[in-house]
Amino acid sequence: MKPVVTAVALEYRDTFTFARLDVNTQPEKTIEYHIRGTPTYIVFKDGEMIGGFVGAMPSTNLVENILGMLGIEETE
Amino acid sequence: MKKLICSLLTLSLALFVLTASYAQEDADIDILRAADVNTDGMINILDLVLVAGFFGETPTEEQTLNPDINGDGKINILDLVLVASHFGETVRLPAVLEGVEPGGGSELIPNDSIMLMFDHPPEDITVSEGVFTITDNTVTITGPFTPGTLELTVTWADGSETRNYTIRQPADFMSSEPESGSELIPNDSITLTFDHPPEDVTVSEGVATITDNTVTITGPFTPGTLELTITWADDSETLNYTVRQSAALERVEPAVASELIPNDSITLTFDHPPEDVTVSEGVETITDNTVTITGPFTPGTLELTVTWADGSETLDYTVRQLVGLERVEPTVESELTVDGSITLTFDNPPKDVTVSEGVFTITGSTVTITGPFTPGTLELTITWADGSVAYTYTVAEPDTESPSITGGTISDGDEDVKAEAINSGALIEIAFSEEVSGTIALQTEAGDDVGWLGKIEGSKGTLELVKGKELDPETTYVIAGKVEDAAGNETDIDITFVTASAYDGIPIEVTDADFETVVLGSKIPIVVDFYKDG
Repeated sequence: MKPVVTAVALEYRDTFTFARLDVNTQPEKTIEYHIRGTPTYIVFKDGEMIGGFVGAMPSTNLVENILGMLGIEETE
Repeated sequence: MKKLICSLLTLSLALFVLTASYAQEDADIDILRAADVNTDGMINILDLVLVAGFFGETPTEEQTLNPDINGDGKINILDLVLVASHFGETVRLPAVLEGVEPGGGSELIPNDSIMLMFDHPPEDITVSEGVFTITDNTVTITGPFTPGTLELTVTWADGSETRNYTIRQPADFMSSEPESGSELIPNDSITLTFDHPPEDVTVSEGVATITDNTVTITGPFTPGTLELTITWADDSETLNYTVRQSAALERVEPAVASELIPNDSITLTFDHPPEDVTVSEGVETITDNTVTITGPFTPGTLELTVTWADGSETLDYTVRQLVGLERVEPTVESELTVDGSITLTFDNPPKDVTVSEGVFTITGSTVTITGPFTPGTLELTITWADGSVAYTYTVAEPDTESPSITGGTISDGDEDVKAEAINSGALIEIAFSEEVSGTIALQTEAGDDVGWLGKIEGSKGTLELVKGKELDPETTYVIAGKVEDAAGNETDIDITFVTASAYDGIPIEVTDADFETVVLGSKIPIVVDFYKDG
């Protein structure tokens, strides 16, 4: 999945930032956000969690989910 | 000689016979009395013998018995004839006034009586005023006489007498002020009113002053029972009083013009127990010679008037507002430094402040107590005019340790610091080991201020991004400043870091520690990929 994330992060770097947190080494936030499986994506905007989804998926689905949560229509 | 006397007596008898027709009723009383030569009240042979004994002689002035009956200067047959003509008659003796009581010129009252004493019972009494009664040799004339001048003429058979008197109006007691039975003090005065001016006034106690119909009796009277008898020319009156000891104010505590608080009390000490005590403010309590006046008194000027039976006194005081403690900082039982201070705030400026430890200063309603205090338990007692409090603190050992940097967004020497992450979080935080104050700034390596807002608060220093002043990639920055703790221990802030190259779209690796800053502090949307390495 890392290549998908890396590609999306690069392509949409002007729209959103991608961050990664290793659930094995950072248990505090893993527990706090009730992470049950990986990968889990949680979208934050202005310091607030606005949504999330679980599971590996193609980049188009990944982008669609993220932009949908951000309320941004894909122009491409 | 004897023959001659006998002859004369014989002749007298013959003349008596010859003059038998001499009318006795026509006899002049003066002739009768002259015929009674020996003045024994009877005209008899003894009188004839006396005339006969001096017959032919001329009476001399030295003679106590005068046989010249007709007063012609010769003792002769005519005198014998006069004696013989009244022979055997009784002669009333003339009444001579011997004394008058009271004497002329005296002052009487209308119902007085005047006594005239005669040597013999007088006859044919008449008086110009009053009513007379005769008892033996005494004539008593009783009134009522008309007030004013009395010219009293008494006429009797043998004479008359005029005596002048002054008849004054008698004075009757009308009233006394205060009334009998009242209570007095030694220096009181008693006023007696009469219907007319009294005379010859005497009093059993005190001094009497007479003004018209009024007699004023002034003391000092002896304390106790006063049985006052007033005697005047016409009567007397006894009035009973109780003379109590008057009370004089000796001292006042606290002194006049002192400053009081509302619940203070004022004590007045008298030389004797005062009576009828009233006060204009407060409540009075009387115990023997002492009057205690208790508040609450109204704050401000107190003009306290104390009135008692014998006087009054006005005492001026200033009553100030009670001062109460409102708060103390730091809180009781907290920890102080050796050089710390304690601030007490009152509702009004306190007075007479003392503290058991430290040095205090008063500013308005605030008292500040400063050390140095002895490390350990501080039992501090603060006393002021209206109260006191005792507080316990713990005085810590002197703090000689400088504050240190314990963590933060960036550590000294960090490299590859993700500028985007910092910029997105817009905040750099530095943690200190204790509460500090001071300054903090973000500078370039050359020492120029980047323009972020630096703030030291509590045990944290923050640098907040100002829009347009974002961190640049691949740049060396210095977080500089200076902080000090409450004890004045200083620490220089000198954190140098270098930012990484510009964000290239590679996901940022976040940790639990910087999650708040990088993720929640991000100004642009951020997607976190929770992944499991491997």
